[in-house]
Order: sequence, then C-alpha cells, then structure tokens
Amino acid sequence: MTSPAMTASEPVPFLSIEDLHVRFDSARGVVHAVRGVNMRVGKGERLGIVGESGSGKSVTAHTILRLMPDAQISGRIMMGDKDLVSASSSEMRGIRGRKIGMVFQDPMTSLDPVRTIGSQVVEAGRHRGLGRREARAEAIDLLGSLGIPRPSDRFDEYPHHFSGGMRQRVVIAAALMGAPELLIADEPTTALDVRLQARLLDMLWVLSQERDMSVMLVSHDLALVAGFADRVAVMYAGAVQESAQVDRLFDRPAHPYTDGLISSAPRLDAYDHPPLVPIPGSPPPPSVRMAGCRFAPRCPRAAALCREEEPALLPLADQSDHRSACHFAEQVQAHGPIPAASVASTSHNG
Amino acid sequence: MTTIERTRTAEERSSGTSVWRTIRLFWADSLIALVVKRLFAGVATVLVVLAVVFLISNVIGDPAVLMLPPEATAEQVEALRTELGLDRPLFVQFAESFSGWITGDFGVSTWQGMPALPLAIESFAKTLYLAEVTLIVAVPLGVIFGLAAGRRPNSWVDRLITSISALGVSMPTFWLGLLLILVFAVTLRWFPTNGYGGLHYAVLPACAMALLPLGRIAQITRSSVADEMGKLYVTAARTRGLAEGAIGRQHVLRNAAIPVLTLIGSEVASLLNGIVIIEVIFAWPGIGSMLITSIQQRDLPLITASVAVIAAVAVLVNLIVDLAYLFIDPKVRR
Ligand SMILES: Nc1ncnc2c1ncn2[C@@H]1O[C@H](COP(=O)(O)OP(=O)(O)OP(=O)(O)O)[C@@H](O)[C@H]1O
Ligand SMILES: [Mg+2]
Repeated sequence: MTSPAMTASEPVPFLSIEDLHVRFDSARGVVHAVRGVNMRVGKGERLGIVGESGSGKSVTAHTILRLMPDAQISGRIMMGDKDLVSASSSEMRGIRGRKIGMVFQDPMTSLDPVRTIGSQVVEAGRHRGLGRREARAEAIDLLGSLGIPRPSDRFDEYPHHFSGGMRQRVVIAAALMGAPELLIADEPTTALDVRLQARLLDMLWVLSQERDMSVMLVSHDLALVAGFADRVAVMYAGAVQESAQVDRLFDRPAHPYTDGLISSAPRLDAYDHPPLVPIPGSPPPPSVRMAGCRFAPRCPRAAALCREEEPALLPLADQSDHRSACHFAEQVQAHGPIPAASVASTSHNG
Repeated sequence: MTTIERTRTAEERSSGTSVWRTIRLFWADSLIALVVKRLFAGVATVLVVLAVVFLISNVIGDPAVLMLPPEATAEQVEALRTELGLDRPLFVQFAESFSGWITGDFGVSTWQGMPALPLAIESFAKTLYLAEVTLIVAVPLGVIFGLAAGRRPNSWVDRLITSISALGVSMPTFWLGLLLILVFAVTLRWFPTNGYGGLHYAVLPACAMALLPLGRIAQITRSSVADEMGKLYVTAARTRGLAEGAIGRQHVLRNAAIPVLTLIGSEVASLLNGIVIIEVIFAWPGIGSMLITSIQQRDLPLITASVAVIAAVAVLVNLIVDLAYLFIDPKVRR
C-alpha cells in the first residue's frame, strides 16, 4: 500500500495506522473485527472516531496499546519509526502511560475500589520518574484543573466517595499524569449526563490545547465529536469509510454512510429540519465474508461495481485531506446519495 | 508552583500524611467503640449457647440420670438430685449457673475432680497448637496455589491446581486421617500413629485437616484473582504503564483478598468442627477429645465449660475477621 503524499495543511502525524487487521478466534469461527483500518493522528490533533455499534472503534483503540491478549493483529501502527504491532511487551510498557494514555467508557469500574484515588492518579507520574512529593503536587494540580473541588482534601479518598462525573475526571487525571502525547478516549463521557459530557470534553479540549496533546475521541455522538474534533474518521464494518476535517465532513460528506449517519443524528434544532432518516438495515456481522463494499447492501446508491469491487480509502480528486472509500465519492459529495435509478437518469442527462 | 506548595503544606498540617490520616479516620469511626460493642454481642452469644446447653440437659433430660450409670436405682438418683441441688426450682438453678458463667465458675468436673474451666482451657491450648499447624499449612499454600492458578486461567498450572483442590475438597477428613496413618505411620513409620507431643506428632493430624481448607482457599483465591484480573481497573492500570507484577501487588491482591478473607474466617470456624473427629482418631488431647470424653463421662460442668470455650473462640475468630476487613476494604470504613 502506498502512503498518500503529505500536504502542507496536514499536521505531522504522531501515529499512523496502516492496513490494520484484527481477528479473534471464537467458538463460531474467526471474527474479523478490524479489516484494513487506515488512520492517522497529527501531533496535537484531535481526531474523532465515529461509527455504529460494532464497527470496530474500540478494537482499533485497544489494539493501539495492545490491550487485548487474544487478538491476532496484522498491519502497522507507526509511532515515529516504531511499529507498535511488533514492539516487545517491555517496549509497550514504556509507551503506555508515557507516550499514549487511555480513558475508558465506564468511570465506575476503571478505578481500583480499594486504593485511594490519589494513589492511582500518582501512578503514571511515578512511572515517569517523578518523586513522591512532586507527583502528589502535580496530581493535585491536575485534579483541580479538571474541576475537582478541594483536590488536596479529596486526594486520600476512595473511589466510592466520588460520583460518576467526578470519577471520570479522576480517570482522565490518572491518564494525563503520564504526560502522554496522545490520549485515546473510548467513549469517555457516554456514561454521564449530557451537560456533564459537554463540560468534560471542553476541559479535555483545553488541556489538549495547552499540552499540545493529540486526542483520539471515540464516540457514537456526532454532535459531541463535531464540537470537539479537528478531524473525523467514520468507521463502518471494521474499516474507515471516510475521513476529513470536521467542517468538510459534516458539510460535504463524500460517502453515503456518512451522509446517512448525519441525517440520522438527532439535532437540538430538529423542528426546522426534516425528520430523522435512520439508515435502513444493519451492518454485516464481522464473521461474514463478502465481496465488494460492505455498505453496499444498505446503500441507496449501490451499483453493480459496488458489489464486485471493494473500494479503497482514497483522497478525493481535489482534496488530498478528504478521503473516502466509495467508488462514487465525488458524485456523492456533489449530489448526495441519490438512489441508483435517478443516478442513471442524471448521468444520461449529463 | 508556590501556590501549590503552600496549599500542600497547609493541607499537611491539617490532615497529616496518609498514614496519620488513615489512623485518624479509624479514630473518627471509633474502632474501640466497635470492638467493645462486638465483644458485648459476643459474650451474649456465648451465654445464649450455654443457656441452650442448660436447657437441653436440665429440661429435656435429667442431669442426675445423665451423671449416674444406667443401672443406678431411683434412690441413688434422688440422693444425687438433693446433693447437687437439682430439686430446687429450675429458675433458681439457672440463676445460679448463670452467675457462675459470668464469673467463670463452671463448677467442678465430676470426672477429674478439678475446676472445669481451667481444664477446658488447658485442653484448648493443645487444640490451638494443632489448629495453628493446620492453618500454617493450609492458608499460605492455598493462597499461593490459588494465585498461581488465577494469574493464568486455563493454563496447565491452573488445571493441575484446580483438580488437586477439587480432590482436597471432596475427600472426607476422617478418611484422609486414616489413610495418612496407614501410609505414613503404619507402613513408612515416618510419624507416630497417634498421641500428643512435639511437631512430629502434629504433622499427620494437621495434614489431614489442612487439605479441605487448603483446597477451598485455593479455589476461592483462584476465582477471585481471575475475576479481578478481568476487571477494567486492571486494564486501566496497564494503560498507565504499570508492569504486570506491580499490578498484581498493588491492585489485584488486595481486591482478591476480600472474599478469601471471608473464607479463611469461616474455615477457621469449621476447623473447630472438624478437629473433634481428628482429635479422636489421633488421640490428640485437645478440646474435641475433652468434649467427647466429658460427654461419655456424663460430666456436665466439663461439657458446659468446653462448649463455652469453643463458642468464645468462634466469636473471637469472627471479630478478628471483621476487623481485618476494616484494613482491606475501604467501603466497610464508610
Ligand atoms: N475479544 C473479542 N473477541 C471476539 N470478538 C470481539 C472481541 N472484541 C470485540 N469483538 C467484536 O469485534 C466487533 C467490533 O467491536 P468493537 O467493540 O470495536 O465495536 P465498537 O465500534 O467499539 O462498538 P460500540 O460502539 O458498541 O462500542 C464486534 O462485532 C465485537 O463483537
Ligand atoms: Mg466501543
């Protein structure tokens, strides 16, 4: 696979995932959860990853830190000139926390219930070589900047003294203590109420700006991602279908799946918009083999070509930063995903 | 930086370092008050048990008949009743016994002719020795086996340990005792068949008793460790760059210890049950043998004193286990 040429508008990639495949052996055969993911995160860039449930977002995120012992991984995950797919487990230990940190969805179970929150927040700092007092001071500082009131009093309290929202701040602080250059956040706010979600992401946005820290934000919520990310990657059936700068992606989607996602997303100003149009059908299970585009069975625009040949994720003709894995990317971008019949008539007219 | 520095020292002055803070928390939750409350409840439990023994021997049966050989005549029974004051109203007898229990006076053993309580305590010391040896074998080995198996579920180590502990759990203690005597005492002559003495004498009975708790502790430790290893906080600790060993020591061990501790507490309690039969098989002169003999001798004071000692020990063990929770599980501390 040839790597597409870099352009001036694109930041230097901190992490670049190339043709990543992840398989699991299960009782009912091989589950091919991630099939050829291509993705890059720039230094200091905030990348949003969206897609329906089961599209392989979490598996991709976990694979970067090699957190799934039963996963069979192929492809490359390049951080500088180091490939994380082939890194030894002691190399991975050095990368975890210090280069790449991670925050999980469930704040209630991602903290050890029998240790004080302070001792857990401090860990990554100690791992990075801070002294006991230094680490404590920095942790208290960090907890305060994430909006935990009286952090020095709460430092020695246990997780069960904290609400869900407060715990998630603690978890984020624990990840940031390692001063990672990239923070992977897998639906970090899904368990929280809507107002809290936005507040927490605002804080995370500020912190990433201050520290020039890249963030990979995995989420179901398009609106949340639209407000947070610089660039968005849309995943479907184990692969990235489209990626672009956030405004371009939402204004001029170049993949019928992205278009479907956008028109099925609930909006706050829904009264002057057409009603929600959910994408009909459901994604193919990851154990199924099929030829052609995996979205074709649900796609309003699918043509014969789509059922025969799997499209690659390629830059659009005039925008190297906007990539789409659709045979008809330019047409979709220009005219929207029109049903196949009217497409035929349009092409006759044109 | 200076603001952080200042806040921190102010904070330290008010609440101290984490050790002192922990101790302060304990005082705030008033550990002493808790212990005193639990001790009172424990004494009450022992008294209720003794009242039941009293009831069984005085209401359901006739202690005079119990104490005399079966061939005793009615006159002899009547004479003994008068002598022991059993012809008085039951309420008066109970009040007398009750005040005896509280002051530690359980009467004189009819069989040994000596005060019953010191006799019972003395034989309990021998039981304690045997129980200690048993626990020294069962607890560390059970925990070590369980850890080894739980760290790598479904590995061959796990399978081996799981089957051995299943065997240990399903083997009757008395049968294992007889088997050990047959192999190691009768055939190999490594250890004495029975009797009381140094460690040499304690090995076989302790091993016979240890296998069951060892197996159970290994099983619970294994499943508890395997459970904890699968939890998200372990993965989260991994993403912070912690090594597997550090994750085990700093996070998994303490969480996994909570159910294991409960089990060890109940194993100690059930050891007190199992020990009776083992003491009889190995002729170990502990509280179990004492209880059996005092029943055979129809020695009511000694029976009561032995039951009192056993009940008091059970209460104490439970209290100690509950206190251990305080140190391990912060949720119990409120
Ligand atoms: N350990 C595993 N073993 C087998 N299959 C797995 C494993 N982990 C994930 N999968 C499968 O991989 C597919 C992708 O899962 P993944 O969790 O990445 O989805 P997701 O995009 O994060 O979805 P969601 O939005 O629901 O979190 C799913 O079909 C899932 O069943
Ligand atoms: Mg997920």
